[in-house]
Order: sequence, then C-alpha cells, then structure tokens
Amino acid sequence: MSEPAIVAEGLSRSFGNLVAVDHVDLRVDAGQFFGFLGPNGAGKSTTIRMLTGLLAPTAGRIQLLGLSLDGNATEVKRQIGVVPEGLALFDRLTGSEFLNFVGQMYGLDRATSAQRTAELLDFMDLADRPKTLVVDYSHGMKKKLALSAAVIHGPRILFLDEPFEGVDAIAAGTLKTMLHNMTARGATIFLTSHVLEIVERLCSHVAIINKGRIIAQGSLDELRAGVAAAHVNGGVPAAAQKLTLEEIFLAVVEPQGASRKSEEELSWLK
Amino acid sequence: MAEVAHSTGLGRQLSLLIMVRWQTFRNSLRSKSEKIHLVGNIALGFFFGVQVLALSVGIGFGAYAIVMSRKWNFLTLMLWVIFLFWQFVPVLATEMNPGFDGRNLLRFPLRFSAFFLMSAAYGIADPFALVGILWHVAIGVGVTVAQPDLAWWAALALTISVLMNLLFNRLVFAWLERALAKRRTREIVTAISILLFLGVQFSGLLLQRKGSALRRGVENSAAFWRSLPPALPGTVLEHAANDDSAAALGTAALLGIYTLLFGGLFAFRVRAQFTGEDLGESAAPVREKPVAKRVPVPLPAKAAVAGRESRPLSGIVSAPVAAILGKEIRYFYRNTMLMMSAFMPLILIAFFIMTSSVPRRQGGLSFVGRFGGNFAYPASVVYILLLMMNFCPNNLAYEGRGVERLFLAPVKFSDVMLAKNLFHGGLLVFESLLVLVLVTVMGHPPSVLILLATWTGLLFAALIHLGAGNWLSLQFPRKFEFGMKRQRPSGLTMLISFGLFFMEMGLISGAAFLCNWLAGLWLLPLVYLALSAAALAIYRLILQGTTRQAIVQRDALLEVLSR
Repeated sequence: MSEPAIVAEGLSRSFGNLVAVDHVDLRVDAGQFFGFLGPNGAGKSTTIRMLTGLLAPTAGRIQLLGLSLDGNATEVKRQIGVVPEGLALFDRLTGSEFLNFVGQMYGLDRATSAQRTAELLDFMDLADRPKTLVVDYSHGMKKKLALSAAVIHGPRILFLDEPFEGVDAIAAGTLKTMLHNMTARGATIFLTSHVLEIVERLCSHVAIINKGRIIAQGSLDELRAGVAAAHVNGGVPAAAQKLTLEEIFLAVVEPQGASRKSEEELSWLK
Repeated sequence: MAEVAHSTGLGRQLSLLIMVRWQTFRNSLRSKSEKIHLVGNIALGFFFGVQVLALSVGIGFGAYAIVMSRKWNFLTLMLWVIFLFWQFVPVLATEMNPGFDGRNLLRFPLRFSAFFLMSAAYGIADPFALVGILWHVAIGVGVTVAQPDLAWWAALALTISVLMNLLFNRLVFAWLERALAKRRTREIVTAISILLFLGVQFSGLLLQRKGSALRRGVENSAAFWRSLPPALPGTVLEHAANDDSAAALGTAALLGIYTLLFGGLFAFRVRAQFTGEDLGESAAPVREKPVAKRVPVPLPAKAAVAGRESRPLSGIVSAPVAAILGKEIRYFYRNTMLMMSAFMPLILIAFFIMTSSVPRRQGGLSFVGRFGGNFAYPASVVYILLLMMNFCPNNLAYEGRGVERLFLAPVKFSDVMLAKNLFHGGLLVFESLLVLVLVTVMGHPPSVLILLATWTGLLFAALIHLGAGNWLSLQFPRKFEFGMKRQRPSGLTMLISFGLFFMEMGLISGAAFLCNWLAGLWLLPLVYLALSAAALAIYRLILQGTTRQAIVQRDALLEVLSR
C-alpha cells in the first residue's frame, strides 16, 4: 500500500445548527487522481476548505503528506496548490503581476517566478492581454489564472474545486493533459466536479458525499461492483455490471428518488 | 399543452416591483449589522430631515418676500439653486454607482411604456428628489400666501418644473450610467467629483480676489439665465403677477416643451436599455493560437520547493513581504479614491498656506500667522496623521476574494501585516517630507529642534496607529469597493482610532508642556524617542499576535471581505 497524501479522520463542521460535514473519513494515496463528488450543498466545498486550511473543522483530524495541518500549516501549505470555489484572485492586478505575486508568496525567487509566469500565461492563452486587470477577465480566463496560480510552485497535492467550470473545451483538454502528467510524476490531485464524464475519464478513485456524510468511496471498479451487487440483491439483472459514473452516482445518492423524479411532471406543463 | 400566462397590468407590475424591493430590504435586516445600520440611517435621516424642513420654511418665506417685493430675479436664483441641488448633488453623492438597473426586468413580458415609467419613477425614490419636490411645494405655498390669485399659476408652473427636474435628473443619470458602466470611467468621474468639491474650497479664494468682477458678469447675463428651463417657472409667475396671462401661458408652454424634450431624450436612452443594450465589461473571447502548445508540467514539489528559501529583498524583508508590498503599491496607484484621500491633505495644506498670503478683510489670523512659522509644520503633520485613520484600521478592506490567497499561502499573517505597515509607514514619511517642502517653500521652514521633535513624535504616533490598526483590521474588518467614496471602517473602529489619536496628542502635547516647563524644548525629541521605543515594543507584540488572531478571526474575515 502506498503512502497516503491526504488523510481525514472524523472531519466535521457545523454552522450553527447545520451540520455541513459530518464525521468524514478520507484517504487519498500519493499519485492518485481523486474525484470528490456530491449533489449541491452536500459538503464538498466545505470539506475542501477544511483540507486546505481555509476553514477550521469543528472536529476531526487532517494530515497532508504525513504532516498534521493543525501544527504545520505553513509547511503543509508550501506543498499544496488550491483552486478554491471563489478563485481567490487579487482582481486589481494583471494576470502576470498576480502570478508573480503568488510565486513569490510561495518562496520562488523573482527570476523563477517570472519565468514560470511567462510560461503559464502562454500555456493558458492569457499572454496576449498583458495589461488587462483580472477584474476585466472573463470567468473562464479567471479560472485559468487561478489554475496557473495553483501550480506555479509545483505542488505535491493539488486541490481543485470545479476546475473545468467555465473553461472552454480546448483549454480543458490541455489542462487534463497537464494534470495527468502531474499525477504521472507523483503529484496527488483532489478534484470536485459536477461534470461526471470528466471525473470518470480522469479519476482513478472517487468518494461521494451526501448531506455531509461519505456514502461511497473507492476505485471506480469497486464502486461499480458495489452498486451492481446491490442491484442484483434488489432484483435488478446482473447485466447492469458496466455502469457509468452518472448511474453509480444516481444509484448511490438517490436510490429511488432519481427515477421517480424523472417520471414526474409539473402540473402546468403536462 | 402548457398554459401561457396572461399579460399583467402596469399597476400590478409596479406593485410587484415595490414588493420585491420591500422583501429585499426586509431580508437584509436579518443580520445584526444591517439592523444597526438601519438605526444609524434613521437617526441620520431625522437629523437631515429637520434641516431640510427648516430650509423649506426658509424657502417658503423667501418666496413670499420675493412676491411681495416683486424682486423676481431672486426667484430665478432660488429656482436655479434648487435645480443645481437636485441635479448635481445626487451625482456627487451616490458613490458613482449605477442606479436603476432595468436589465433584470427585461426577462419579463414588460411593455416599453411600463419600463419607461418604472425607470422615470425610480427618480422619485431619491431623497434629493424628495427634497427638491418639498422645496417646490414651499415656493408654491409662499407664492400663494403672498398673492392668492397666483395659486393656479404656481401649481401649473411648479408642477411642470418638478416634472422637468425629475426627467432631467433621470436623463443625466441614464447617460451617466452608460458612461459609468466602465470601471475606469467610474473612477475618473469620482476623481472629478472630488476635484469639484475641492474647487468649492478654492472658490472662496477666487471670490475674495475676483468677487466683484464675477458678480458683474452674473448680473449682466441675467437675461440668459432667466431664459433657461430652471428659471422659467419664476418667469411664468412674474408674467402672471403682471396680469400678462398670454406671456405666462407661453412661458409655461416653453417649459413644457423643454420637459418633453428631456423626456424624449430619456426615452431614447431607456429604449436602448429596453432593447437589450449590454453595458457590461466582460472581456472579449480569448483568441486561440493555432500552434500546438508544449504542456508544461510543474515539477513535483520535492524538486521544486525543497531547498528553496525565501530570498531576502536587499537583505531587509523576505520575498513574501516584498511581494505583498509590491501588491499594495499597485493597489494604491490603481485606486483613484485611495490616492485622492491620501494626497488631499497636501492640497488642503497648500490651500491653507496660500490663503494666509491673502489680505484678510475681517482681520483674522492666517494659518501660518496663527501657528507661527515653527508650528505650521507639526500642525500639518498632525493633519497628515489623521489620514492614517482612513487606511491603517481597516488595512484588508480592498483585498476582496484575494484575502483567501493570504490564508492559502505559506505565509504568516504577521508578514502580511508587516508589508502593509511598511507601505503605510512609507506613505506617511513621503507625505511628511512633501509637507516639509510645502511649508518651507510657501511659508517658513521649521527650526531643527522642531523638525526633530516632529519626526520623533510622528514615529511614536505612527507606531501606535499601525499596531492598533493591525488589531482593528483583523477584529472589525469591513470590505471596501474600488473607486467608491464615502466608505468608512466600522463605527467601533473609528471610535477606537479617534480615541487613540486624542490619547497620542494628549501625550505628545503633555510631554511638550512638561519639557518646556522643566528643562526646555531641547529635551523633547529625546522624550519622544523614549515614547517611540515603548510604542515599538507594543507594536511588535501586536504584530506577532496577528498570526494567531488571523486564525481565530479567519471565518469572519473570509465572510466579510470575500463576499
């Protein structure tokens, strides 16, 4: 068994009476491309915020690369890259200024930071707008800039909250290649996305969270086998062995509800 | 087949709009801070309401006196003042925000007439418009009481005048909105509005020097001013009072034509919005390059990160501190409002020194005369120090969503605060030197002793302000928007800052008094240095504590600043 890059034990977070994340246990091995899925409001972003040090857990323990996040925050942060939900951009800087800033914040010297900035801007097709402030970027451009900022220091773990949302197909293709190459070199990627086809194509392992609790976790084949077995036990033919991730997701999150809802109609649209 | 909704009447649409506004307002009161804000607004509204009512009574009496004395030129002047107040004060006071955004309504099956009426009616909700209407009513009452047979003429002329003002105001705002849709224009207009305010300050100087010539010019062009729409209601009343009904009716018709013209121009703008004009600033799609790209693969962390330490900048500060300092400087020169508020005191100090060279009619003492050549500089530096209260106690105000980056990066928060303090301290030093040049060139240079005492005193006060500012910034953060004026830190922050300021001033002047009494002023720089050493110890203590404080305050900071 390989060394775990991300370990979360009993991770919980409450906002007043609302329990957003409820005793979540996660284990992501080094070099894994890990998909973290769940319906809207399930607790995905809250979990990522806790794992990246943006939000304090109410209870539980987080260990990244063998270091506890609680006592080694600075050292851990040096080794991770994050694209948070809100992108965390300084919108009155130009793209180049922002990447240089981030590079230096992670301890890169000026020359290295400038060289990587130029390379990333060119790669992300942002280089032809050198004087444009981030506030004037389109949503897709902002997303690409946030991704660039997440990788400029060569992180060992990359947390990506909906990285492909708003990114055009060409850029998405290039990004996927870049992320694959990163995992091939040993980096770990923790990704949330609502586009299940992308997760299915990219990720080797998946966890599904619903109402703050992890309801399924494992490799895609393990999840497929689990769902198929449950269906067989429930009387569904074993031909359903080759399930897509979307089918697995629906089967796990809403075993009966999804099919019932798709058959329902709104009274005035009948 | 799905049922299609029937068209909704204009009244229903308007009531729905009002209901949405009400629900939005009611929901905004869920938070404690908004409730406090509302109480503050009510208190402020009451305070200004009393003033407006008092002015209305004055205007009513004024109109009465004008009719009784037949001095119609004063009515022209009064109507012009109301017009200028109604049209220009809202533009200067609305923080350069676009007002009514009808685009949200365009998704609904709305007729153009309904959309136009909603856009026009939005103007009545403006407090300045309400004041303008109230003053028109006051004139009407004053005129009617003075000469009851003018009541109908007053009602006709003043009603058209209200409509004209309302439509002109909406017209100005609609075109301004078009211009202000661009961020940069918004900032430029804000800067111009501040310069206008400043111009008002300098107008006193101009009047002192060229007052009589200006007055003659205005008197000679009275006929011109009276022919323009704001003054026409006065002309209607003058003709009516002279029993020249035909001329009165003709002037009222002319005012009506102006009103229709403004309405037409406004409708032209509204029509553009109605047909889906997009004033947004979204960037054009990025042009894809046809060449195949090499995919960069950032090195895994061990190779890229390990062994790489933050390289000190010129041996003084670490790379992250230098990076934040660089960011602060960029944010400063890109924020017109911040620049203006930082350098405004310099302009005002120059103004005070300039006015001191103008002979005074009332025989009052000039700024330099009042403080003496030696004390003009320390007094100016105290004034500069006041500007610090705009920056230090809320030094994360402009971070926006970027504040998350400060928590994601492997940087101690004390480094973030240190960088911000270096910038604010540098700004203070720079301005103090500029003031020294100003005072020396335009007034009298201070003695070496006063200079040393001022600088050491400034060091003490700045350290206290910077330290307290760090604590307050993390404890009571408030988000500011770029290019907008009238943004203030929280009330508590202001209160504590002013308290500290008066405490510092008390210590500084107390020390000066004691030194002068016991040993002489030569001791003062040394005493201030000792105070600065104590302040430095306190500053360091607070700075070191900011890392822990930021973690404790993290949720609140992210919620408030990155909303």
